Amino acid sequence: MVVGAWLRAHVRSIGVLSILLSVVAVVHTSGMLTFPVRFDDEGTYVSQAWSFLTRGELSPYTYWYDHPPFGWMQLAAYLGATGALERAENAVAAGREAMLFVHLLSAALLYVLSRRLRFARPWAVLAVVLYTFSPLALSVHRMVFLDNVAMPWLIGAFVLACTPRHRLAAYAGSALCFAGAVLSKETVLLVLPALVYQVWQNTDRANRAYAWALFASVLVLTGLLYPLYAVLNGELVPSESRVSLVDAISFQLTRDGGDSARTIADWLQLDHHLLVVGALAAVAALAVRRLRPFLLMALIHAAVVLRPGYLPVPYAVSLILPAAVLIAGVLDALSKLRLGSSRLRAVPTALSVVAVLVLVGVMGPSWARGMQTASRYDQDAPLRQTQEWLTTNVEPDARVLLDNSLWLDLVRAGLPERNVVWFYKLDLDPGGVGINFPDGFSSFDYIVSSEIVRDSAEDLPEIKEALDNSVTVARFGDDNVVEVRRIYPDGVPDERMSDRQFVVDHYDIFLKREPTTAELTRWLRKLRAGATRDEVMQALADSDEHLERAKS
Amino acid sequence: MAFVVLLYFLFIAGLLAFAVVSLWWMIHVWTSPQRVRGSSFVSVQPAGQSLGFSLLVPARHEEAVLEQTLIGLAHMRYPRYEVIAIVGYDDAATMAVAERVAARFPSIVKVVVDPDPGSKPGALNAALPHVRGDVVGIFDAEDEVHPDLLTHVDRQFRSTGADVVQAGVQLMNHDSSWYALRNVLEYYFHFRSRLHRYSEMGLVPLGGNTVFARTEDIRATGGWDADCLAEDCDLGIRLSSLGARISVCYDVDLVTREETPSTIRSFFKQRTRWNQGFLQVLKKGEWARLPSQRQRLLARLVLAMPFLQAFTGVAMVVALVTILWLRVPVGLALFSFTPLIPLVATVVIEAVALREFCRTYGRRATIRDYVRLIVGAFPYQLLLAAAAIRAVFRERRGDRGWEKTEHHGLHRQPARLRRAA
Repeated sequence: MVVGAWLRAHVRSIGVLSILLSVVAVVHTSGMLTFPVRFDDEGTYVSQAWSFLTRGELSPYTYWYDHPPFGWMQLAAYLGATGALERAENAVAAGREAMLFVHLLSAALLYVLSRRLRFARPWAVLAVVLYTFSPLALSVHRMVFLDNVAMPWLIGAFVLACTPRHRLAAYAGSALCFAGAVLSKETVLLVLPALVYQVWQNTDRANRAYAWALFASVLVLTGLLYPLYAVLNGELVPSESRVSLVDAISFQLTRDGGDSARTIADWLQLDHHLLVVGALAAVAALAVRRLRPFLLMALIHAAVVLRPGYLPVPYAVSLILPAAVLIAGVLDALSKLRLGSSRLRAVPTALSVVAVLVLVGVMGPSWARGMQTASRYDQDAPLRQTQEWLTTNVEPDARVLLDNSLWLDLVRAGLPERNVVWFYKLDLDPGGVGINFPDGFSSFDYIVSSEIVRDSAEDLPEIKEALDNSVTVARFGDDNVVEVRRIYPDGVPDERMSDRQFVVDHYDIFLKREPTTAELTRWLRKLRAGATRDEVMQALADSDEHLERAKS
Repeated sequence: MAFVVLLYFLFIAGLLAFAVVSLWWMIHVWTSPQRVRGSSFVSVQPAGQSLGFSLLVPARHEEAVLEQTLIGLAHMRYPRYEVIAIVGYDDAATMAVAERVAARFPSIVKVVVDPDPGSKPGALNAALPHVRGDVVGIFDAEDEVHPDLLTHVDRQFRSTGADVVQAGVQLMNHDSSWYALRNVLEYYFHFRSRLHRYSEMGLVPLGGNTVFARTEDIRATGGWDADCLAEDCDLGIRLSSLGARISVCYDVDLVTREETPSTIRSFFKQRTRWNQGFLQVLKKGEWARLPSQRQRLLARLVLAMPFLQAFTGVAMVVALVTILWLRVPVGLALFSFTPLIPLVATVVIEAVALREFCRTYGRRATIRDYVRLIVGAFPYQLLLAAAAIRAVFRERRGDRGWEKTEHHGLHRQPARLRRAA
């Protein structure tokens, strides 16, 4: 049987790959739910996947063409097929489980790509090791980013473009995979020149014209399905009452703000070495013909990262691939240098081994530390505690503003969807959310203040108002602080307000009744003894009576 | 309502699958460089005696072109062959031309009178008893044949053990008109590429021209079917089902040059005849004798191909209109557009083939040609669809009259040859 023959021919690679992927799985999984902390974007993509899975809609809110939807459609397929949402401890955790699957696929494809680029097996393994073990990689590959979902497609496109037998089906397949990558994350389109260069290096005169014709047609025509979708919805060009693809594209291209220097600094803080060594390898790669497409890819990414303007946090994902390929590739080329006389034959191998040892020495300690952090450090505790608090303490009809990392969990816990609002939408979706809440922040009872909410408040007037006119009811974490704040539409109670008035007001807010004389006396005595008003409020919120009300 | 939507989904899925398969078979030879390089004649000259050839040239009212063809055939660079011109008893003008050439080359050319003229297979059958060669080759009265062709065909027979050799035929006049352009490309794809796919599948509907089969095989299988309008296709399927090894060879220099029908009307009639012939072969059921289930399935697809292909364009229009009318969900509407991917890719590939064709045969492809190619895609489909419908009606009426195509020698132009990659 053909399959049997293929297996026998590739038995060594299959063996190596199995061991490698097992190690990758262990390293990736260890601590993947607690580090890094759940991020707003991750909750967005999981909630959009959930919306597609349960209702066939691209988003719980209005889909505004910020990204092509294929990425979270795949996420939805995974969630549906494996029932991850029911199994996992929270929504984003389910998404991270999907990212494990995606990463294993990417790692396997990267190994195949390295072999097709004629790396010796050890260097192919090194490429996957660099791709997985770098602390930067450990951090971003776990997170539910569309860039991660696009990676297997992108690597697959390169694998097919390196077809050793120059079959038309491979070029067509490469184009299809690249279209899949772009439809998962539109920024992948930027590296098209690198893929074209790869194809250009690898065609045979006999069928070259047809290879290009098929590659170009399949890529363009499949990619056009996305604007076609916009057309079918009547949302291609800008109009008064509807979102449009053109609006979204011009927004993404011209958006400013965000501190790209800080983003880069964050990446470098996670791993000082990978990108720097990758850059050095890129320079050396100029001399190696088969690495040049990846050199081009690296140059494109460098241009994107270093230009002034908006730099999305997940963009780091795109940088790791060329870094891994170039470093491993340069070492492979080094070990294969032919130095003329036979006496010097051992020199290139020795040189490359020395280079590896140097790398290990330089990168090793910080990588070891990074891997330890990634597997042990629980950054997620504050959010977990906040989630716990919210599900037990908040009234069933409460209206909450929060970032998306907890959105889906609250909705699945039973809070009505229209009452749990992603904080961005209050200011930015006047036609949708704004209609439900015409009084803006005043219509809300709680705001969950996480780092991203605080950072974005500058640009979101309603959110700023909400933060200013609210008081902390619960507070979690020291590092990434998450606070639950109670909103006072009429303004925060005046410090000069009497203690008695304060207690009466808050009995009304939390317990919906007047305090008995005994209770009032008790609280006043406590306040005079030095208890803060915050403590009183927290006690009332944590009281059994309030919890009973919250449960009903 | 949901049932209608399901039917519609299946219709689109079928259209998509067919468009992809059709495209894939069309570009078969280029799917791997190995195939391209293996699509020509073998180059090794085997030892032993070369085969004797009998070249049959049926002609009817072809006095304008027959003379040059026969003279060309008389000058083949090959030791053992004869040329048999077959003319109907009632065709005095053509008979005169044929006998004139036979008189000039008495040892090579002879004339056989067809007592029951009116169809090509009938003429071929009339000549069969007079055949003395080991191999029968068939040519049309307007063909321009390369003098070294027989040498290569002989090599192919004896080196590969083939039972049938189908060599290349190429229409040349790509710039005569918009439909001539598409007809030329059709031939290019067919002989350069698609026939190789059929050969690999083991079922080849032969072309009626530049095809060579062993005389004893033809006699054993009863000659040509006089009632069939596509007697070449029929012979091919019959021989395939008997397990014959059919070798398809395309060599740019050795290709037989022909012309497209000079008017749309005659093109239409020719196409109707071919479609009707394919229908007849389908109905005859000789393909049922093919050894494997897969081959039998493929045979039916191959024979139905001309009809299915003629209607893909129309089917696409129907699909798009239905989206508006049926108000399908957006996802399904999007899916309905996917068959356009292989269909548009086909046009792009046709443009590439046009360029390759012109480069190979030393002709020029102008912007006007490319525009004609793209703009003419859908009208050509309509033409083919109309011919297919006409064929179905004619067959149902039992109207099997042979509508002859006229030839004017439009392909006879000087042209430089350049080897393809």
